Amino acid sequence: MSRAVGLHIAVLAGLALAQFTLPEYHHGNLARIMVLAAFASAYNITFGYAGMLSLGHAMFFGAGLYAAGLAAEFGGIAAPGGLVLGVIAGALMAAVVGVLALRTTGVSFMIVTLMFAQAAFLTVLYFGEWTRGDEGFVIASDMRRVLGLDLADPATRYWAAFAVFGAVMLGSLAVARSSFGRVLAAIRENEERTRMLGYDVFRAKLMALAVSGAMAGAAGAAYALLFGYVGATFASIQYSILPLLWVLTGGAATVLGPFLGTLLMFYLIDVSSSFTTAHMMIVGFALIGLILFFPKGILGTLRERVVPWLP
Amino acid sequence: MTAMLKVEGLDAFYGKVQVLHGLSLEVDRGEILCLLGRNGAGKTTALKAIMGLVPPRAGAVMLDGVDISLLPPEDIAKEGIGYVPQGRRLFAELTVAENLEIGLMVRGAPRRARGRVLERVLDLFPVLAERLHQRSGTLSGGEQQMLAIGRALCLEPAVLMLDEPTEGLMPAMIQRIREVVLAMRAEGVAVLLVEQRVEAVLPVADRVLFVENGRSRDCVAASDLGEDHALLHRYVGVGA
Repeated sequence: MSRAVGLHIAVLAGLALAQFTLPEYHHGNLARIMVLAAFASAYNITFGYAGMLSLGHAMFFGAGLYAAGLAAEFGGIAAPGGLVLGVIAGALMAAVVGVLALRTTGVSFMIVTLMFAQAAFLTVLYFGEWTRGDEGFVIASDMRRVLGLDLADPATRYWAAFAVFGAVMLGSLAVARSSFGRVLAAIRENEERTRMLGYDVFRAKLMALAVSGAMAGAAGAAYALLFGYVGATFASIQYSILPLLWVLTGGAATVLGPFLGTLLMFYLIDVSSSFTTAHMMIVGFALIGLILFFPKGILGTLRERVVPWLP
Repeated sequence: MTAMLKVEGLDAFYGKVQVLHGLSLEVDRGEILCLLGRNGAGKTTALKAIMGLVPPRAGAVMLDGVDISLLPPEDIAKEGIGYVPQGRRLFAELTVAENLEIGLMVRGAPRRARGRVLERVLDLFPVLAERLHQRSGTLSGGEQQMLAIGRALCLEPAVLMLDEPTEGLMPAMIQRIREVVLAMRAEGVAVLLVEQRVEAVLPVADRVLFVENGRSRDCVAASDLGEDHALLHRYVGVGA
């Protein structure tokens, strides 16, 4: 086992153990952070590794969220099935959007993904009769059960969040270390050259987007099922920007960066909002500091200076 | 036997502007053909059109007797044309080894065959072997050019196209790259070279094709150019 794999297993082991020591409030937070970090990791596949700056990942998260939520509400499909549906919905949406959006690159790609995400958001509002729009709906507690365990129970919820995050993180690690990951990095560095070397760039990018969409869908479905609430906010632009922010903070194209970024940003907002209403200003200062001292994110800069083997 | 690479009557456009007017050329196995001409004559566009980057509107590109002019660029690369564009363009964040690996993986060859190809490329460019784990963006200009060529050779191309490979390099590097081009010729690779500077061409080229306004003009043996300055004067505006 290489030290890179060892490090990631150690982080997962630490997270598994943390739940026995953390006080109740932070215990609940960490479960939420792990689900959001899974979303950030999904974003990292396209943005960090393949270099595609999407402004529309909220639609993949939302696709998972609503697939699980609506299936429970109208189809009577309980938790494990909802998660599977969420993964499928995220991947499918990403593939369909990708086929169209990947005809563009750079700024146009940002605009096109943003446009699709806004269309998805408005679709949620348009079908308010079923989705309840902004107000959202609560998933019935009998739908939030896995193997007879109640996902509303803090310990079960923590384990479920841990399982989803662990799967997505190990998936990211596998992508990062695979030859597919190499090709994505090559595309990020120079798309045309990669094409000249004989790679079907479109196909590789579509694959990356579908994998990312599946992971984001899993995170969305997990969020709906673990916390029991489904609402249009989660499909809004804010949820396209947040993963970008988390990934930039932790370090794009590092496997652990999305988790670290999500953790830090979550607590930065949590702590600062407890003593000022201007907490977004503090976040702003933190981001400026980050760009000055850690231009490649925390782990990205560490990798550059201290630990070059970090995947 | 047909030539390895044969281009016939190629027309290419940038938008509405026609850049290539029925350009034709032929390169055989183990031969170095150099395209020579002024800035904007269409030399680089000719390479891009062969590669499928600028889709030709008319004409044919035959690789070993097979028309490849309608294939997408990534398939043309797989068919066996290695292209090293001007200005190198490495994957700067990746290491030297990873850059070469990207080249090696293209054809999905088995691991053992990859090792053999890599060994050969590193034999040609020993300096790369010393820097396998260095980030390629931190290499010197000459080393970057070697890596760009090395990466193209990882595809084991039948045709190698180089666009001004010695531009801006110091003499020792130019010499090294020249040796590699000659080594490729000795192995039977067809080499298509684009240059602007006559003195960079004459020592290596077998034949020189002059390109003017997107048309192929005279094609002469490089050895004849030494005496005949009229052609050089006419097409590139040098010579005494």
